[in-house]
Amino acid sequence: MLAALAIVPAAVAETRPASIGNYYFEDERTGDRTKIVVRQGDQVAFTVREDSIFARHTVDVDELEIHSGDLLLGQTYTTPQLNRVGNFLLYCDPHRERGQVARLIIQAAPTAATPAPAVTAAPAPAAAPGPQVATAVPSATPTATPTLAPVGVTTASPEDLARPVAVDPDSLEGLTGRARSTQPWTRAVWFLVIGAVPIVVLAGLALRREFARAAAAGPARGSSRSSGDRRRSSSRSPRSSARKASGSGRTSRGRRR
Amino acid sequence: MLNPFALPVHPAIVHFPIAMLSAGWVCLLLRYATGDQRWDGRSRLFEVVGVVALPLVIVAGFIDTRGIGFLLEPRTDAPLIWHMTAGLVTAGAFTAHYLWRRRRSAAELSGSRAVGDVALATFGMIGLLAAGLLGSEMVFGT
Repeated sequence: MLAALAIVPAAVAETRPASIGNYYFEDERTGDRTKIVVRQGDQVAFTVREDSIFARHTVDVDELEIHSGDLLLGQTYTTPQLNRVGNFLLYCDPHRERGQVARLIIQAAPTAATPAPAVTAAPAPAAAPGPQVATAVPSATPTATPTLAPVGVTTASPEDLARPVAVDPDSLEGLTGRARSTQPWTRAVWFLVIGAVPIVVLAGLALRREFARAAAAGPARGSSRSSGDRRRSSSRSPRSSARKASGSGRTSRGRRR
Repeated sequence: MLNPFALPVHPAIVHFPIAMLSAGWVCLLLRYATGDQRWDGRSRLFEVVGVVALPLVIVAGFIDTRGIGFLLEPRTDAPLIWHMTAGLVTAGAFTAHYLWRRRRSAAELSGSRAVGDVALATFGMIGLLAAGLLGSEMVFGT
């Protein structure tokens, strides 16, 4: 019976938190964005911390047949219990080309040969911070261990979302020391309305001056030319009339008449 | 090996049409405000450079998005699709403005034609502002 207890992974299994951002997976306990290391029987809860402007994030591990589907900002996807030991490719399907890949490493659970603390029938120790830790009930039949947390997509709790995520020092956030805004992007519409006002006002003022000039010129213009044209043509006319008066016998281009 | 398609191309070259078309619009307003036809020539010059640069910038945008795949299931709750729309509308407005103006001399642009001239260019400027604001939300926003 003690041996049966020792090899049941649920005794030390837990739900490990992980973050999904642009464009990475991060083990929240270690801050590692290259791999997530768990023990056999653990679950992993992926919480979307940053939304992508392209497609929504997903959690995919082909070899374990894990496919979360599209995840919204603030949602948490909890995997089934990970009982297969190995090193698996974890990726986000639409952002794979952008480098949103990591390794999901599932290590074997401690066996009876090691002096594991699971020799008593006591529940898992308090060190396991999973939201729902199943108690290790000794059973003579090797039935499937209960899941620690509901599998699938749920809405992350405010406490989960409030957990700080390490900032990549090479990111825009890290370089500028400026946290990302919490305001929705639709505020740009209001900025557009405000910014369009001076643009329209300036255009209106320019047209107003044009019409005022045209009105001042009055019907004597006789053509659609602006006063600028009149000034130019009038500035040329003394020269041309002087040329004619000189009787040079040549046109303005120097050709003989 | 350096992958050129891993670099953001669109942000690097979009400044050319922004600057040229904005300068062209300013010169257009000065042409009507002062009546000096020289501003009309400058406006046309700025505008043609900006319009010629537009196709390159549009192609660069689709390079950065890794193609048009994001249009297959467009996300209207994200600024990208709206930034693209505003940019394409702006490009269309300035291109139409350029083609319409090149058929007419400066002297012919008065009265109702002046209103249409300024209105179309101003519409393009507002579109430019919209595309820029949405682009900034994509980079610096949420």
